[in-house]
Amino acid sequence: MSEFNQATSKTNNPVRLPRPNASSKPSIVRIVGTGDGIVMRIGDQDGRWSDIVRVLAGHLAKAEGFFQGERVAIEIGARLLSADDLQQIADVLAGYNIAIWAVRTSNPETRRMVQDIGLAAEGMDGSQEGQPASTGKNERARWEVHLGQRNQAAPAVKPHSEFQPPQAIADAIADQAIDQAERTEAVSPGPPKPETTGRPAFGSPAAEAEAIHQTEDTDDTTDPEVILAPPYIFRGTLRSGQVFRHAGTIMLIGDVNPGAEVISGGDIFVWGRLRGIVHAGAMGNERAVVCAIDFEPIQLRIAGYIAMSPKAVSNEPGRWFWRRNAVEKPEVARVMGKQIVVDVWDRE
Amino acid sequence: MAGVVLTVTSGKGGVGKTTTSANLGTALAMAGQRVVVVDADLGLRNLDIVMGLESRIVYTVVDVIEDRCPLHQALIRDKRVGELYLLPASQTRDKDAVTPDQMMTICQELQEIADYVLIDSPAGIEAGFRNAVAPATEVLIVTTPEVSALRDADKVIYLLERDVGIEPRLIINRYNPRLVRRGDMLNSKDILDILSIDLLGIVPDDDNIVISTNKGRPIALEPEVYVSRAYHNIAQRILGYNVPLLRFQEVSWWERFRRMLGL
Ligand SMILES: Nc1ncnc2c1ncn2[C@@H]1O[C@H](COP(=O)(O)OP(=O)(O)O)[C@@H](O)[C@H]1O
Ligand SMILES: [Mg+2]
Repeated sequence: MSEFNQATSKTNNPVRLPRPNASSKPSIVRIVGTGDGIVMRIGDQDGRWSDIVRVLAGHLAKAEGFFQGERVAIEIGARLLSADDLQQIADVLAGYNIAIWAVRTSNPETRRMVQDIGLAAEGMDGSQEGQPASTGKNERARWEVHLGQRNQAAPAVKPHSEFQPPQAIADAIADQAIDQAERTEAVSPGPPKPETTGRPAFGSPAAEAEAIHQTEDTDDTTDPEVILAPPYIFRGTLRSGQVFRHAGTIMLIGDVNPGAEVISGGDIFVWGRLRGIVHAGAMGNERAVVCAIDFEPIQLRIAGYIAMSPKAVSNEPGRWFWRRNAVEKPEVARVMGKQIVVDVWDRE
Repeated sequence: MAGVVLTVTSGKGGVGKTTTSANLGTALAMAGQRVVVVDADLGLRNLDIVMGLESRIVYTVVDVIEDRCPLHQALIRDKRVGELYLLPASQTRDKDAVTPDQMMTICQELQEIADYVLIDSPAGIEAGFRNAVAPATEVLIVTTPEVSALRDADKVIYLLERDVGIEPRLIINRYNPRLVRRGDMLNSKDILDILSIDLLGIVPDDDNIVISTNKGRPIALEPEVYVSRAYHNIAQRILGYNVPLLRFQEVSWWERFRRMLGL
């Protein structure tokens, strides 16, 4: 059991532990990781729009920036929505650097409005009915104009290795190349080569993983329910400046170099050297674990807990940094008794 | 056959890109290649000074781009070796005077006449860096054995793999076997463990380099000087010859003594 230094025991905004709840009223906003990205599902009928916006804002605050820099699709069922309504949501999301790339609706009026703005309008099943004639590039440009200054920092589309954007948007991403990488330090590792990544057999691409995070009711509104994405396997080395972010568990076959970051809603497994920063259970799951064959992260977070390597805070952090780990066994970190504990991985 | 465009870059500044470009250009020319070295550090030119050609500059790369002279007129011939030419940067205009497309056009033209086009990249990962790597067919990363330099090198490797699709090769500069022996400097194995790219060569830290720089006479012109061999060996490896790495004493005499006795 190694003595990882407890930097801050808890962030000021603790996330409640998942609790199997009895009378779960379906929440009005659900955030779901699917095969084609993050989808925010907004209930069909009930709830005033202002409540919905508030619930969404509340949830994003809790997720502690997990979705920062993501792009999402919004599902609103048959609800009739005005451009102003959509703008309210876009404003909240923009505060977290999140961009909307598509709106799914079965309401023809709403669909027309969405097309006028220049976003992808899809049927509820994700089918491309009424796809605007514009190219990906135009969509982005027009939407940015609509959002004004706020969206400057966050590119409306963002490559993410897990969530493959539609082709038109992928083209727009390609154009941004290096440029974008420097503006937002949160660089997703480039689009994965098909043969180097894979999804485990369970959970087909579009299928959603089991709901593992369900919070009880608070005040007058229902908390959103977060459904994590299926596990993701990444093969390759994450280099300085790269950030790999995925809502579900991450299995990384390769090294995480100093200066790289891995952020996961679930567990993180590194089949190689772990030297960068990792954050498991980033949406509040305190039962998440971090494992690595060569376990030397400069900083480690699980849910709201933060720990720094004792060597990293020693008098020679720089030197240690590039050195080999003394413990030549895989190690695992988990939260035990309100702190992060690192153990050598043993059979028992 | 079109020549090779080799870009020398690093991320961090002051690690030896310009020194490496001047010496590798010289060494390749001494090996019978026709070489053009291009100073892509616009606004902060100093490849010409290191090569001792400053006084002969009339036109610069910006003059070529803005059509004030044909390309061949801007090239300065280094008369000390076979066929070595310098395309100087301008000191007054900065990186915004050039686009990656324009650099590619110039390099395509140079590739027609030269075996090797060596581009000395500016520090950083911004516009100047992009201009320098856009025409590259191969990239050499220069790093010193310091954690800050390595961190930047790692990021540059990632950007190159992602945006240019090139896996660069590594030159470790200012290597100090004495410090490595004492455990006060990272050894080459530590460095390769992290960067995991091919090692092209190691250049020791040597006062002769500073002296030769100030004289405007690249040390590669003096093949009998020890550190000069490092550059000639790298040039040979670029040409595809299998030259063993210079050997440094990285273990102490006491350690070697113990090993000799089988302790
Ligand atoms: N191997 C070396 N040994 C000693 N000094 C060196 C060595 N390589 C470079 N230098 C010195 O380091 C300084 C920076 O080198 P330079 O080539 O100008 O770096 P860069 O082009 O990357 O900014 C110069 O003063 C140079 O003489
Ligand atoms: Mg320089």
